[in-house]
Amino acid sequence: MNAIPLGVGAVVFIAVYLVVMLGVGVFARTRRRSDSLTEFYLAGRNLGPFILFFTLYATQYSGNTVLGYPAEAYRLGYAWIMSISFMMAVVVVYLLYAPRLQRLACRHEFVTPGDWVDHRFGSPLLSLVTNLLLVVSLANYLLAQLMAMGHVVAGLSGNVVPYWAGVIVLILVIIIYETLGGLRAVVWTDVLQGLMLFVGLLGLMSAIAPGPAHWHALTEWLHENAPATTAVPSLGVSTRWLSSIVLIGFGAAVYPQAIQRIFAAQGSRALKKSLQLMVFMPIVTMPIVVLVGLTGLRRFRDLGGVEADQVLPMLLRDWAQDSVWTYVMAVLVVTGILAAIMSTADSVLLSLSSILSKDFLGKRFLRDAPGERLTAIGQRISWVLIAVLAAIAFAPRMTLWGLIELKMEILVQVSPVFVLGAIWSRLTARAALIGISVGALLTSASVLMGIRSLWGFHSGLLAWAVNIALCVFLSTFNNLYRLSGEETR
Amino acid sequence: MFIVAQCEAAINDLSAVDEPRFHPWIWVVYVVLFAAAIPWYLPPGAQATTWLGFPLWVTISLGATFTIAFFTVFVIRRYWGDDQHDKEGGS
Repeated sequence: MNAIPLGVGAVVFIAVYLVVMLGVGVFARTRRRSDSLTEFYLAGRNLGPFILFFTLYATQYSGNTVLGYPAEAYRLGYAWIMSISFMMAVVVVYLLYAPRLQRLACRHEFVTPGDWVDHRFGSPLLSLVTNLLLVVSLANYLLAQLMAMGHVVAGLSGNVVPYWAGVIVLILVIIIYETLGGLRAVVWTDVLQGLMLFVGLLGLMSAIAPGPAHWHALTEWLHENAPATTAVPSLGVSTRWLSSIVLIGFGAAVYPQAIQRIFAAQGSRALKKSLQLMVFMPIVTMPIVVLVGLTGLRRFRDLGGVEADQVLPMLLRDWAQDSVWTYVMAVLVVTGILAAIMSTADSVLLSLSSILSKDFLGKRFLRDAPGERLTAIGQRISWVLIAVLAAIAFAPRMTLWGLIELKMEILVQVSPVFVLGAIWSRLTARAALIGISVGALLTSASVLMGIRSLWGFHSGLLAWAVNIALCVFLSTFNNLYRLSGEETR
Repeated sequence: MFIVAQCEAAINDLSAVDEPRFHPWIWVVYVVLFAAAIPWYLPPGAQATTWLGFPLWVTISLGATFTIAFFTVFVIRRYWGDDQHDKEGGS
């Protein structure tokens, strides 16, 4: 990443922001009523609509949204407005299964996604496979956030603060407030981080193209100088668009941290209100991100491949030198980027810790352990986990965006267990297990062979289609077989 | 301020509460709206006129996604039933 020499002002602003995050953690600790799993991992199942909305927003919109997506708009042009559709698809998929899941979570006191799988299917093997896939994809996702933290800090300071120091400082802040306050600290910091992200994006908008006249001028320039960016997309791009809607719609809807927010809602009204706001966030977020990428195209021509990832940092560097106003905006944007990354990382870490402590240890090796002990173990697991992932982040073997793409294609394979399992009572554990396993194997094989897409569709999505087909076919066949057996008897 | 968790556990019949999944027409509308958001129905490579500052196909796509958002609000309000013991408040 190119240096963003934003100076002492930016460093002080970010330092204050980090101290506030720690303060929130301390405050959340004073509000913890017990050390139970529900209290620590679900904030006592008492999240109201306002908090729920901000935590869903801050968690779903990650560092990738503000760093990676402008680069995609730079490469693809206006066609990257596909990001509005696929982010909206996530909320639409919630409508399929969240109403039922939220009620069942209340009644049966689910804490982790694995609790639902146990309740619905009663198959330890299916729970194990589901949890393994969730842990693999979450660890991937968290690693990507840690790497993004290091890149942003190194870029912000002009490499005065090196990549590794950025990773260490930020994960320390996260792990401390999370250990202190659990989900309560995470969602309260999410409110601040969500606001910071939103204000940063509005700052970006005001700096690049505040109104229709600016949009028109940008479009006209692109039409003259880069006509491919304004032309109707090719059939291949349209196919990718459709593929992304389904892949991300179903994949991101079953993020364990999102599922746990459904569990943590204080009731259906809170969840309904927050989703009514959430469905508008792609419209207010993604066009800004697309305009950033296109403005980058106007300012910096011919950034090839990976270089395009530098679009936003390069724009920020320019703005920081333009005027005091744009400097302030640039500092807000950088803090917003950090907030987006941290708010995703803390939620993913908490989710991982809950799955490992409650599902892996609590249900297998420490069956008689009280919830308080599992909570304490979960806190320690978070520290170990973050240390291991930080060590990997110091010597990454994959690019940031490669990690994120891989995560979604693995994650979508578990969606039948949650979505189909909630809405179709005939789905059997065996069919789900075979479907998930085949889907995950096909996805892994395609990654190993370097086949990222077939006929324009993501290979993980095609594996998911096989997964769904197996779930439906095997469940139907099993039910018919059982019925005919009963008739024979 | 803390309020004791209001999460209800008293609904005996889950199917008695309305949900969007019980209404197939809703999902047909979603398929149509998402299909309208993708410009597959226009000739690839064509340059459209600018409308509201954007190429026409972009404006159409934005219109479709706006419609999805408002339709979703309608679906949530009309077809997602409330819990009997749901209360406001929270952390």
